Parts: sequence; structure tokens; C-alpha cells
Amino acid sequence: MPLIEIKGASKGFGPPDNRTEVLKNINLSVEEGEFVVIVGYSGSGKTTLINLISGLVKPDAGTASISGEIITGPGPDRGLVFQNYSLLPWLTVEENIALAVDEVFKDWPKDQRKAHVAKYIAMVKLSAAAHKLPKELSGGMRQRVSVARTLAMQPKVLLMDEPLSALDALTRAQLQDEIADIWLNNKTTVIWITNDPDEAILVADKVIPLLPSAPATLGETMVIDIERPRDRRSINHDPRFKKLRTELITTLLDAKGRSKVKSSVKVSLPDILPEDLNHVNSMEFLTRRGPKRRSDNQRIEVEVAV
Amino acid sequence: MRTATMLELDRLWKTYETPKGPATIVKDFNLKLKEGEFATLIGHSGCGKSTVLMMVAGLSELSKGNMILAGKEATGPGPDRGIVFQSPCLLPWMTAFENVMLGVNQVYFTASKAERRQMAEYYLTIVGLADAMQKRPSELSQGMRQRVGIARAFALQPKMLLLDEPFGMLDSLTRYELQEVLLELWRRNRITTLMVTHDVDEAIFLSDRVVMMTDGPEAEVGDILSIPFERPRNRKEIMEDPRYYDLREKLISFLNDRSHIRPSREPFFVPSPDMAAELAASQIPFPTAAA
Repeated sequence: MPLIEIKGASKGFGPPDNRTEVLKNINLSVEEGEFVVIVGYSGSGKTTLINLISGLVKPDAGTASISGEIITGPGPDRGLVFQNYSLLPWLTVEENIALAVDEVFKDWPKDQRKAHVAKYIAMVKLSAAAHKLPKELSGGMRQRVSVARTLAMQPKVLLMDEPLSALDALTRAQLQDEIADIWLNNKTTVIWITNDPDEAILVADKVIPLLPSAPATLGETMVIDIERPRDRRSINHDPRFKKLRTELITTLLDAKGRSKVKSSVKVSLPDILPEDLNHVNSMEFLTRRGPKRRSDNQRIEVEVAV
Repeated sequence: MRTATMLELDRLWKTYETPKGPATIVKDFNLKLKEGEFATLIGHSGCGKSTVLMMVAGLSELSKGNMILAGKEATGPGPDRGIVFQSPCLLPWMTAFENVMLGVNQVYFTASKAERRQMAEYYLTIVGLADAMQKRPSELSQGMRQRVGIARAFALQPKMLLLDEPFGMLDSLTRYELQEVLLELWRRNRITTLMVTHDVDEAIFLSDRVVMMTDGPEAEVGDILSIPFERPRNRKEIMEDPRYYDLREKLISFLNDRSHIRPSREPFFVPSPDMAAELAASQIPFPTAAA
């Protein structure tokens, strides 16, 4: 039995007379221990999809279930990592993580909880910064705290909603590798949402494109059969990587192209040339009427697909 | 085919006075762009790419060196150089159409009102904003705002187009879309373009030549790479081309390993054939493979 299963789920927002359908007929099943990445455009419904699993949003039709039980609300068996870190600003790194641990493992003795917190801080390499406040940390470090807090709850599934989108390219690459390593050692089930196709192929077992038709649907699953750990430089030469990358990017770009209504309009490009504003007082303007032109033919009709 | 030189940068220097003495940001920067060429400057953050671009734009003074644009010494900014910044810098109280008209009214002041309006409408339609012309920036997404910025630059038909990380603030998929929009405009009107980016794929997909800059301070041209793909370009075909990943690897390894090596001081440095041709054209002595 799959750990997470969504069957025929649809979701829309707004009143009946002005309704936006976001997701349609979503079918997704994730086995235990799998690393699944969902790639899609911003605004195509990725967050709504992950909220169906986290229980923050209920589907209009269809069901979402975890270990066979229908999801009715959020719970500690599903850990969420947000793009904006969501740390409490007045608590240190250690206290932020302890907050989650104390809540989930209430019946543990104090020492065990403390050791548990320290273990996860060490896992994300923040032991030296355990007593710092979020404002004293860089964006990359804050996101690591957020990942540690979520992992420390030992959820059945880790849900990551564009976890690295707010970080610069170098930090992002570093965290991709770190999270892939942590996953390799823990084998927690991960569902990761991103808009970066390269990121998806580097970290995932399976990549599923979210196709931006309105409402959005899931595309065909792509299995990433490249062995781990993956080296981001040598992977460049891997023919499997090249093929998967091309396939994924073209699938997403083609879907976007199809989602637009094909029509064309005629616009005319007037044949006028810019004036040299450094010489506006020149004699030229006394002898010439109207703008400079390339030819006597004053307009070009152009058909543009919109 | 015309191969007139559009832009010639001859030993550009940029030095700032600091309390600790002058700091040289850019040193001996040479580059020649042919008319209708699309060139990209690539390098690490803070290496001085944008400084070079701002000097070409006339927004930053040259400390030393010459800049010749279309056969004339260029000083100060002007509408003959269109700029697209990382953030689109639109006036928030004007619609997309009015934002484009602002520049159009200036440079086509001899043309009729109808023609000026058509000009703005034409460019906004090509960038895919036919239905959003009358919207204000606050009603547009980040990608759409940047489309307005691109239309505004092209509508002035500048001699040169300067793009300063134009897609840096967008997510990867929107970035792909806008790259296509830019190429589509560029296919219709091949304005000589100098773009700054640190996205390797973007540089390969868009440009004719990629100029790799060494790390600053004292940044200079590290190497030059010609991109051999035919135009019009198709992303899928390029990504399936075996040369694509070689070029990508060359750029990535330059950024990772070699960007701190300075060509002129390194006695064993041998320029690539592309760079050797560039140096020869600027009559600068350089070591050859035989020497």
C-alpha cells in the first residue's frame, strides 16, 4: 500500500459565479522511502497540491490519504518546510527545534528530548549556531533550521514547498546536496515542490511535472535512474541526465504553449526611425517634415500569435 | 552581410577613490562587438560585469580608456542605448502602455501621434501583452512587468541593447519563457546586444559570443567562447546538440576553476582561438601556443 495516495482530487477557489479551478483529477501515489519532486510554474497550483497532503486544504472531489487513512487535517506525521522558513524570531535555533520536539514527544524524559534536538542540529551542521536567533543567521542557515525542526518530529513524510527558492544559486546548490545526503541516510519519504527542473533531476527518484493547463493536471512520472550520490558537475556528461533534462523542460514548455488559446492579431509596425536627441536643434528639422523612415512604404503589417 | 563594428571598448578602467587609496574594479577591458551581434558577459557576483555594462550605458564614467559606439566617442547616457535592468523599473502610476509611450514620445517626436501609438502597441503585442496594455505594474506579475521593460527598450530602436541580468529575479520556468520572448524580438530586429548574466544556460541559448570575466577586483576578460548554433534557435534542438553540454562544461569549469586566473599575468596562459582572434583584432600582444 502506498504511503500517500491522492485519488481523483480536484480543488477550486472562489464563489460559484466567479470560480477558479486550480487542480483537476489529480492522482498521485508515493511509496514509503521515495523522494518525489513535483515541478511546475509559479501560480499553477503546486502549493495547493501539497496543502492537500498536509491537510491545510480539503479537496472538492476525490480523496487524499496517508497509510490508508483519509487526511482530514494537519498532523505531526506530515512535516512541512516552507519557502519563508517560518521560525519564531524570539527563540534561538535550539528553542525553535525544541518547541516542535516537546510537542510531539511529550512522554519522553527531558534529557532524551534535549539529545534529540542536538542530534538534528548537528545533522544540518548548525551546532556552532545553536544559541543564535534567526535574525543572526543567513537565509541558508535559517532554512536548515527549518529542515532540522521538521525532521526532528520524525514525520512519516517530509513536505517541502519550494524550500530553496529564496536562496541564491550557490547556497541553493549546497543545500540541495545536503538535503539529498540527509535523505540518503534517513530514507524519510519526501515530497518536494520546485520550479527548477535542474534541481528536480539532481535530487529526486521520481519527477512529476505539474502541467499548467487551467485547471492543472499531473503529467507522466519520470523515473530518475541515476545512482547517488550525484555529482552536479560530472552529471553534466551523463547521457541519462541530458535526456531527462531535455524531456522535462520541453514537456513543461510545451504544456505552457498548449495552455494558451491560439489566435493571432494583426498589428502594424510604423516605419519610423528614432531621432538623435543630441542634435534636436539641428537645421535638419527645418528642411525635413515628419520622421526619418527606412523607405516610402510607411507601414508593415505583421501577424502575431497571442 | 555587414560586419561593421558597433561598439569598441578599448582598455577600459574603472577606479574608485577610497580612504585606503584607489580601488581598481575593472582593468584593461577590451571588447569589440560587431553590428547585430549578441554578446554576454558572464562571471561571479561582484566581478565587475555590471560596472562594465553601466560604463557602456554611460551611467558610470570611465576612469581610463575609450568607448566608441557606431563610430563616435560616446559620453553620458542616451536613448541610443536601451537598458533592461534586473527589476523592470516601471513607473507605478502609469499603465504598461504609458510606460512604453514615455520613451517613444521622446525619440519619435517628429512622427504622428497615431504612429507613435502603433509603435508601442506593436512591441507590447509581440512580448505577449496585447490584453494587458492598460494595466498598471501592480496588476502585473513579475514576469509580465519584465516583458514591459523589454518592450520599452526595443520600442526605441536603440543602436545597442544593454541587459543587466534581465531575468535574474524570475523563477527558472518563467525565465525560459522570457528568453524566448527576447529572442523573438531580436529575430525581428537584430539590435547589437550586450547582456550580463550568471546563468550559463541563458548565455549559451541567447548569445553569439560569451565573454568570461575574471574575478574582481581588477576584473578583465578571462576568455571568450563562440556559440556556434544557427539562428533561429530552438531550445529543444540546442539541448539535444552534443556540443551544448561541452560548451556548458567549459563555462561552468571556467567559473569554478579558472575565473581567478588572470590571463595577462599568467605566463603559461594560452588564449582560446576565439580570444586570440579578439586580441589580434585589438592589436594586443598575447602568448601563442607555440611560445
